[in-house]
Formats: sequence, C-alpha cells, structure tokens
Amino acid sequence: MDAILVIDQQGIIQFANPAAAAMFAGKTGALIGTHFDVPAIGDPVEIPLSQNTGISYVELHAQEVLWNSKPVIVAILRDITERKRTEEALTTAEVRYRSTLDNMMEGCQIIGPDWRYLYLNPVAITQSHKSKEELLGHTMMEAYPGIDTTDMFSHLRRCMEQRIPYRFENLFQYPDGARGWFRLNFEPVPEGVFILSEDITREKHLSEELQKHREGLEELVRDRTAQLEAVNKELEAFSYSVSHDLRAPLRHIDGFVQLLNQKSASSLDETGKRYLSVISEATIKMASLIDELLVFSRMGRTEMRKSRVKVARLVADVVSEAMVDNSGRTVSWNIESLPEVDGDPAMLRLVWINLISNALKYTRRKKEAKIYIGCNDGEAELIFYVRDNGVGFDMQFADKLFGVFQRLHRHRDFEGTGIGLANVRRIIDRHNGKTWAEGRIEKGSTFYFSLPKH
Amino acid sequence: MNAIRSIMLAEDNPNDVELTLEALGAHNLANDVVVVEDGAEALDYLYRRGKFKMREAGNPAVVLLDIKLPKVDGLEVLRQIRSDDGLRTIPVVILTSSREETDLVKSYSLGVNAYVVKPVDFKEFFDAVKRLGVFWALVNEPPLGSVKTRK
Repeated sequence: MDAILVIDQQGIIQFANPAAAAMFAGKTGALIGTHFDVPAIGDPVEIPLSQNTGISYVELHAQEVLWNSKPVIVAILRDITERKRTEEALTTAEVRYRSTLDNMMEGCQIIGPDWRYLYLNPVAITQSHKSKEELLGHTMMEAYPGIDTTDMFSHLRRCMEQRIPYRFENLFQYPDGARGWFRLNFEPVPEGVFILSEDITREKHLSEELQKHREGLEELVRDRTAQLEAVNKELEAFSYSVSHDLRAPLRHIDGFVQLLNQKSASSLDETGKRYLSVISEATIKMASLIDELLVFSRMGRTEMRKSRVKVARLVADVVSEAMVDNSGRTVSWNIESLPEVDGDPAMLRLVWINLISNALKYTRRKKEAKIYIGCNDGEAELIFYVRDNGVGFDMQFADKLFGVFQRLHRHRDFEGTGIGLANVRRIIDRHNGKTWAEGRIEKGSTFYFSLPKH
Repeated sequence: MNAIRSIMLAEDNPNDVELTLEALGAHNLANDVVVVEDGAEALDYLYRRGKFKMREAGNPAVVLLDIKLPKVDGLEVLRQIRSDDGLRTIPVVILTSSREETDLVKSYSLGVNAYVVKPVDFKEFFDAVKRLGVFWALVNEPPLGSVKTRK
C-alpha cells in the first residue's frame, strides 16, 4: 500500500493516509500540520528515510492538483527499500565481477552489436598494443582497419548473429607488422560477444621449435640411413669386386702353372715341379679364403627370413650329413630333446654345421668321440650347447675363437680357415643371442649359444 | 674377312681367352672360336656390322659370355640377343668369375641357357670349358640358321 500525503502550498501536510503514518512511524494526526519538503514535482525521485521503521528508501511521485479549489501537492510514496537493497547487492556483485575480469590472466573484452568495444581488461589492452582510450567506445574497424575482412572477424560475426560460442587459435597481425598467436573464446552475452583471449605466442614458438627439432631429427635419421645404405652398397660393390676381380688372377696363376706342368714338364726337375704344386695349392687355398670371406660378409648383409625351426630335426639332419664324411669313426652321440625356435633356418643350419663339424674335427684323435648336444631352458633365453671330449683349448684364448680367420691350432694338426665360428657368432648376433665357449686343453670343449625367447 | 665359327667367346681378359682356348683346343674346337673383347663387339658380330659387316651370314652355335665386359656388359648383350627375333634362339652360356646371386638371378630371368662359374682350380676349369665346348658345339643340335663346322 502506497503512502499518500497532501501538502499545501506552504509545505504543510493537510492529509496523510494510514500507510503514510506507518511509513513515518506516527499517527496520521501527528503528521497533519507538520512540514514536508517536496524535492521535485513530476518525475519520481528516490529519497532516503531514516525513521527506524525498516524503510530506508522511498520513491516519491509528486503532482500538483486542485483540492477544494486550491492548488496542492499530492505525493505518493512507495517503499523501495527491498529494490534498493537488491540493486546495491547487484552493484557489489558487478564490482566484484569486474575486478575479477580486470585481474584475469587472459584478455577479456566485450564487443557490442555495433562492433564497439564495451569493456577491456588490462590484459586485453596489453594484447591490443593500443591504449584504452583508443579502443573503448570505438568500433573494431576504427581501431584495426580491415579487421572485418579477416577470418577471425567472420567467426565473431557468426557468434554475434547466431549466438553460437566459438573457440579457436588465431594468428593476429598487428598494424605495425607484429604477429601474435591467440587462443580465442567467443561467448555470446546480452551485451554482444564476450571475448576471452589467451596469448599463446610463446607456446606456439616452443611447439614450432619442437617441430623443427623433430624434423631435424628425422632428417638426421634419413641422412644416417642413406649413409648406411651407401656404405652397404659400397660393401656389396667391394665384395662383388673381391669375388670377381681377385678370383680371376688366381685362376690365371693356377691355369698357367698347370699349362707349364703339362707342356714343359720335361724341362723341370723334381724341385721345380714341387714349387709348381705349392703355387697351385696356395692359389686354391686363397680362392677358398676369398669364398669364405664372401659367405661371411653375405651372412651379415642378407635379409633374415625367420620362421619356426624344429631344432631337433635340424640337428639330426646335420649329424647324419656330417657322419657321411666320418664314416670310419666311432662317435657316441648324446642328443637331448631340443625345442623349436624362431629364426632363419638356413642361417641356423650353418651354425649347427659349424659346431658339429668342429666337434667331430677336434675329437678325431680320440678312440671314441663323445659329443653331447642339449639345451638349457632359461627364463628369457634358450641356451644350446655342443660338448665334446676332444683336444679342447686354453681358456685364455677363448675370445679369439670367434674372430675371423683366428685359429688356435696349427694347420697341420687340424685343417681349416678359421671362419666357421666367426660365422656362428655373426648369425647368433643377428638373432640377438650370445656365443661363448668353455674348454681345457685335452679335456674337451663346450660351445654355447643363446637365443632369446620372445 | 672372318670365317664363320661355331663358338663365340666374349671375354676381355687375354689370360682367360688363352686358358679357354687351351681347354677348347683339347677337342680341336679352338679353331671354331671367334673371340670378341667387349660387349659392343659381340653385338657387332651378331648383327654383322662394324668390322664384322662382311662376315658370312649365320649365328654361332653357342655364345660364351663373360658378365664383366667393357662398353656393353654381358647381361645387356644377353638382353639384346633375347629381344631380337633373329638372335633369340642362340644358346647363351654365361661364363663368369663369381657366383654373385644377383647376376645369377638376372641371367636366368633374361633367359640364359647355362650359368657357369669358372673354377679357380685349372683342372676343373679345363674340364668345365671342355664339356661346354663339346656339348654346345658338337653334341647339341643348334637352332636353324646356325653355322656348325664339322671336323
């Protein structure tokens, strides 16, 4: 219920309704005759009250009317305490929100529907490379001529018109040519569009740096691979040339030695003939060294063709083939059960041929050769071994055994070129396994190799 | 003017030529051999051009071809022989120093009739060449158009 006062031209209250009495904490009679200043006629005004009635703000609407043929002022007063309180609360909230926006690490701006800057926080101003005065109240096109032709602006326009939020990364070009990367968030708000902008220039530079490094690294890997391939090609050319060009002169030496033998035998004495046969043997020996070196080099270069290999079957084959050349001998074979492995069958066959023929070779002087073949099943690997009761070797030379053309025995005792175990080591290396040996002079030797379980 | 011979040997190394002729000579085949020293000359002979322009027509009974030849290599000579209607049927034997796998594979894919690695051991070499000569020049019936001199 609004309070109503009738005030005469002298400012004396002539009438007050009960609501007015309640508003001013008195009886209607007490109000009548008292003085009341009307602050304004016409438009309503808000005035504060301090009457201990719980009403602290009223809205006063005063009009001049004729009352009993005399001009008087009718004032209608409405309690607006509650509205005022809400408004004050809102103002406080706005101040708080504003200060939150002002202090944010991201740039915040509000753009009105006419593209004018309505609000910018300090970070946004820093990001703009302009002063607050150059922006606030001005349109974006005034501040940044041509901005309305950018992709960024068309996203902004869509957000403004269709009220759809949009989020993207934008490379902003300043009028002075400088560029900066920003992560932008467009949010439609009642005032227009709220823009949250985060400067990610540094981040972008870092990731570009990182990308450059990554590309550099990839290039390095490509270069190295190309170098390796070139080296590999060179090696192939080398071994081709070895096999081709070195063999030809050997063939010629042996050929002409034989022709000499055939055609001029009568003019040669026994010593001369022996020299010729030494020359001939040496050329044949060198040819076989070249061939073995080529096999060794091929062993390191050829592609592995892995499959499941039944070791028991492979070993049985190799043993029976080896025994063809040793048919007169007494050999007791002790072959344990052997597992299947993953590997290149041809290469693994060569490993077994070498180990088994070595065992046979170095037990040759024993009345009864004893050869044990087995496998220890380890946690991460399978360890195969070939043990014999042959001539053995001195452990201090154990590492020499696997070197190319390294031999621990004189040729006249045991023939061979010294490439067999080098091949074994190379093949097992390529299967990611290890090779080693144990032995004692005249007490036999054991050759081991491991293959990883996958 | 070169008389037509039944065996063409394409080999640039004089030692190899001599040893090969020696081996072929064991069966009196040496006189039936025409020796060319590079791939270009081999093709000139087969196509009767250059210094072989005036030779009598006819293909050799067999071509013994080294792979490493100056100017045009043996594999290219083989390729041209196999892609020419007039030469395609000539038996070709690659006679080379090494058993290089890529050469072996290429030779067979180009349609070689045999691939022989010259053994270092002369006795073996001698036997191999002799057998080749005897087989291709005497035993084998060459395709029509080849010239075969009978002793």
